Amino acid sequence: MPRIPTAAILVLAGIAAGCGAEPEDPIYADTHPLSVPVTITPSIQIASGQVILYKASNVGMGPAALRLQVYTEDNGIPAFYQDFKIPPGNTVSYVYAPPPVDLDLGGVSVQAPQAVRATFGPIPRVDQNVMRQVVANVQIMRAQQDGEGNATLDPPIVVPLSHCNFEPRGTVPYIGGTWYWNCAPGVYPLKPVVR
Amino acid sequence: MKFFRLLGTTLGGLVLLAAVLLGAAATFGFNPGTLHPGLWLTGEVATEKVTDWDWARKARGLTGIQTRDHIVPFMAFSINGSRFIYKGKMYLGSGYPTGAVMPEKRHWNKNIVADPRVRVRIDGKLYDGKLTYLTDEALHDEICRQYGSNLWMPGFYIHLWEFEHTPSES
Repeated sequence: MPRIPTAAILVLAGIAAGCGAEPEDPIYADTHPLSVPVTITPSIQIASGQVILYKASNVGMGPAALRLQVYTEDNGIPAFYQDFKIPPGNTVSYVYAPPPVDLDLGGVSVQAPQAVRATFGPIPRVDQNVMRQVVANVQIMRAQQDGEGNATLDPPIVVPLSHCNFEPRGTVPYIGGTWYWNCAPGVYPLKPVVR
Repeated sequence: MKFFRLLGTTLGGLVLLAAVLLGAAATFGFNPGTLHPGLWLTGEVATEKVTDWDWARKARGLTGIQTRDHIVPFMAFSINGSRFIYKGKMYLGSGYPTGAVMPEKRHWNKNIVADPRVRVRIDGKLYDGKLTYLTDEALHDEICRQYGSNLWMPGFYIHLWEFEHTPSES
């Protein structure tokens, strides 16, 4: 008689385990599908009269949906973002003139445009791999007017950019994984998660 | 013949066991944990309508969310989730990494898409109501700005539902 309850419990446990188990899930099986390539700028301090020119070229065969997020130095939440839909082969540009703030330079206080950094990345819910087909470029520009009202453009200053992977590991908030940045994927390539 | 008798007894026993376990869970409750879902939530049901949820900012613990199972309608399915309070309203959120489309991979999301009636547990009290998906992107951003940089990670998107307390319908 004790065989029957034992068998019942074993079968029940088997059914429960079978029903509860997720099939091999391509999203969770490895982190690669969750990796988000992004291009980021360092924090840029421009001088008065200069502006920042952000450019993104879609070198892919299909359209690209891109989000430019701009951050101040004291906040992890973007000050603002701008979305772009870029047709194949096209380039979009965005000019940003940061608002003036007090800047302390070694004890000297001056009014200067606010320092900002930015990320070129995907628009959530669209295509996390968009940066694989986008070449980004950031330049510091200044247009000057001569006495006769003619505007001339100073030679642009090209800002160096970093290519990072936003890689989940471990425990993500609300999902069950941990996000971390890998801004040197060439040096520290993504390794499969050991399970 | 003996085999079929054993099979019948086993299946009957399983059905009985499942019924007893479900009955116990429905009667006494089975709350979700941090790593496992639950069934029916336990707690005292609030009968007075709540219209301002600001107090819930300081309430302890996660938010228990009990949904109606979309596969087995009489079954409850609950999880511990996160609440977002903004301008007196309460929103429940479900974050998705890039590459995952709501409600994929989330049983409770599939449930609320099929039936938005839920029971919410905050600080041991239960609130019956319904959820409405937040489609206003500007409002979505405003709420996310209140809750830190985690919600602004590249490609990450948290889906939000506004909770309306409807105690009379409980």
